[in-house]
Amino acid sequence: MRYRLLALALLVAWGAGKLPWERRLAAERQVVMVGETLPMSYQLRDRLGQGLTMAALGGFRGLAADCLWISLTGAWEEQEWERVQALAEVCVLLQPRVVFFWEMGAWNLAWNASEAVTRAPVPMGRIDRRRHDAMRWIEAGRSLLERGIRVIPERPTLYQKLGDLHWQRLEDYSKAAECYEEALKRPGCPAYVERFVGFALEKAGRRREAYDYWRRLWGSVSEHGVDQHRWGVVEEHIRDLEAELDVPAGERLFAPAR
Amino acid sequence: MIFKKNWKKDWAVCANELSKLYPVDWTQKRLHALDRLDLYVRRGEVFGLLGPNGSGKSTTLKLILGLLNPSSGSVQVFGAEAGTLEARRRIGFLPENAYFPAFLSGREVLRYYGRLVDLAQRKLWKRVEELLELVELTAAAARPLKTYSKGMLQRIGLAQALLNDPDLLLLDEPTAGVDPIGARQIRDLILGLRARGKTVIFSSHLLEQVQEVADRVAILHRGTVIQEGTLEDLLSVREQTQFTVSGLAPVARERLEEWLRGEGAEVLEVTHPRERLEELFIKAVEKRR
Amino acid sequence: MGNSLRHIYAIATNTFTEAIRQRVLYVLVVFCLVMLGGSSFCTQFDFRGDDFKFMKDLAYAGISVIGLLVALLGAALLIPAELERRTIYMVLCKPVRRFEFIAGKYFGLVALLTLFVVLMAGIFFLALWGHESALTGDILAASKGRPTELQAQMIAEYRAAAYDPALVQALVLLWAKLCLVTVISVFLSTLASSTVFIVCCTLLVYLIGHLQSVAREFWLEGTVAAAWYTRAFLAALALTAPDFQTFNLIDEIIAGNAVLWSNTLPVLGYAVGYAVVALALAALVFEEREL
Repeated sequence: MRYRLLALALLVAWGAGKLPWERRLAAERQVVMVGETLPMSYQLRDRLGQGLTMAALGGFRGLAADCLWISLTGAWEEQEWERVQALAEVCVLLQPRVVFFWEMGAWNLAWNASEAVTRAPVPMGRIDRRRHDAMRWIEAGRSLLERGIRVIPERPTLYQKLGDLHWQRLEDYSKAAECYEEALKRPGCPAYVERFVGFALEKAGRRREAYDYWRRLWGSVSEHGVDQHRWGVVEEHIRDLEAELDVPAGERLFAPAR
Repeated sequence: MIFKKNWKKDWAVCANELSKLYPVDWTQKRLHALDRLDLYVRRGEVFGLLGPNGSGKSTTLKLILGLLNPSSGSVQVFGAEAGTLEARRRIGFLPENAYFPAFLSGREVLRYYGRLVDLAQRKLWKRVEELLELVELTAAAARPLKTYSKGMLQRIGLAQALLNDPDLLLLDEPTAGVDPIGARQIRDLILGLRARGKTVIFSSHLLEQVQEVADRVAILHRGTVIQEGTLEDLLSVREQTQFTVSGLAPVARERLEEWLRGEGAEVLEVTHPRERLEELFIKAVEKRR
Repeated sequence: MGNSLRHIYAIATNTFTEAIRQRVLYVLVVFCLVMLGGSSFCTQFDFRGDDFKFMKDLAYAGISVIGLLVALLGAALLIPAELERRTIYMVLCKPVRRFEFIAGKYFGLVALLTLFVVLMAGIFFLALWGHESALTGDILAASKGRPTELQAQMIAEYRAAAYDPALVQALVLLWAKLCLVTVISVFLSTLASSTVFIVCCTLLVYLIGHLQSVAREFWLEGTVAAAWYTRAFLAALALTAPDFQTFNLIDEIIAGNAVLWSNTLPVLGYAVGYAVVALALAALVFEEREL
């Protein structure tokens, strides 16, 4: 009995000692995964079935999310958009730090769902209803992306996707350009996004800014021979804008074509 | 009892007022396995613990080993507290119905246990082969233990008890379930150890076997010693005498009986001695070998 | 000291040998091969961008499941069996300390776990390599060796995701987590002697361990009013159970987030600390146990 009491005392002493240690580890983990906060895990407990919660908390959260995503694919095939949205929300709740769930969830809502409702038959005289529904799905996708960006602010992908959304779904080209620029500030952003900023500015009608942007881009490297990066396209746009904006010959980057 | 200063060292084992209680259930009910048992075993003697099942033989052995802690009282082994490493270094133990890791071969199991008694590798391997030879298992040494017969397992058990060349050997029912030939080998082994000055304590309920090897015995009943002493003291019936004669004619027998009666003696029994079944069995089998 | 280590080593190797020679183990090996084979089939669930997330999730969940089986059953099967068959007498009647027996059992099981994790991880990395080279091979074949900007980007992304060195960190963390489960099971084996009971209790501690952080914060913050017994219960949970959420870094690594060794090492240190204390507790309890 004496040793057992000693063991109990040791356990409690260790327990008291380990608490600050655990809190520090939790804080460090928080830095790694900004998205996971305590309220989140309460929320999680409320929203999922008991068994799934256990699995999710028991270290099999990744696989649970994957399985839900597979069923989301099924919902998508059956065009059940409400279910697609619900499943996407659960996936990002389970694994908020997985870019893919935010990105593809938003793509399903803002592109697939909104396109589908635009083509869906509606009662006579209620064409405005279509636009309303489509808009609702686009907004849902945008909300998903914006929340994702708050959780994973350091990756370019969601900014790029948000730029695409503003461009393709909302036709807000200035906003798109802003998003692309934000994406470019983050490491790992594909190089072609550089050109998207210029295209977006042109589409927005901000030609002077677009011209300045193209020139800055051109000046950022000295070697323009790499075919892969399509410097030819950039050159073409600069030439067109120089002509259109009537840039004085001395300030031009390229001599006007004869 | 008054002993000289270092008295405890003269004994291989001395148990003083040893009690052991086992809790039976969650309530405070207790089972008295041993009740103030006193037991003294001299160095170099073969000591038999007798008693019916549940009389406390195994408990006594476990207390000597330190596998159990006494509820009260104490046990010393060569002057050291039972259960200490110092005490255990000098003990070899063969449990009742010894069970071994069945996935190992005979040789592997001895090497495993040999590492636990701190034999250096080269010495250990030599010792293992010697012991396999001693218990006649060299031929089966590479086979897994699950293919061994009961007698072979008991012999492996003996071999592992001898690994550390112990001064005190504790054998719990060493001959239980072993055939007479195996039992005799074990008996011979015990006698051989005694000749080398080792102390042996063994428990048994086969009284004949105890009779053959033990110098002293203690009879346990319900956790206490009810009889203790040398076999001579315990067994000889001093007021009776037995003759065994060969070539006595019936007429001569009658005259002899008459003469004895004339001397005032009462003839209780006149019989032909019968061979013991065990001896018959051993003779018969050994002829075939 | 030297003797102790020799004894622990002898008992550990014996435990490992015993486990290896059990037939159940081969069933597990076959199961793990089937599962990883299944995982390469499951890559049909191509998550478009494919950072091999599904494959990684499946592999790590598989290693978790099999590792948990080994960790839960190892001690719970071997230690009570040793007591029941009384083979333990043969060990403890020798000049072996009881803590050496406990430590030997534990390290034998850790060796077994290590073998399993390494084996399964090896198969997983092979499968990952196969999948990655198939994907990039397709792209390269389609572009006839001259990938466009977009294709080059994709290949780079595939390779970064497949050959992420942090995956090794995740593996080490998973291994440490399983070792922690094992030590809990060893500790419980010194208290109880029924395999089913030990397995259930270990599983319970495993699940509670994932909620420990919630209990801990609830108790320490104390912002929510609760009855004293609720608080006492939470305190008991927080004080005794390990915080398994600490190992959630594994999720982050699979999600492709930057997790550095400087994040991983403190967690490993925590696991080692917990294991040492649990082993000490086990030794204390076992010291008094009647055999």
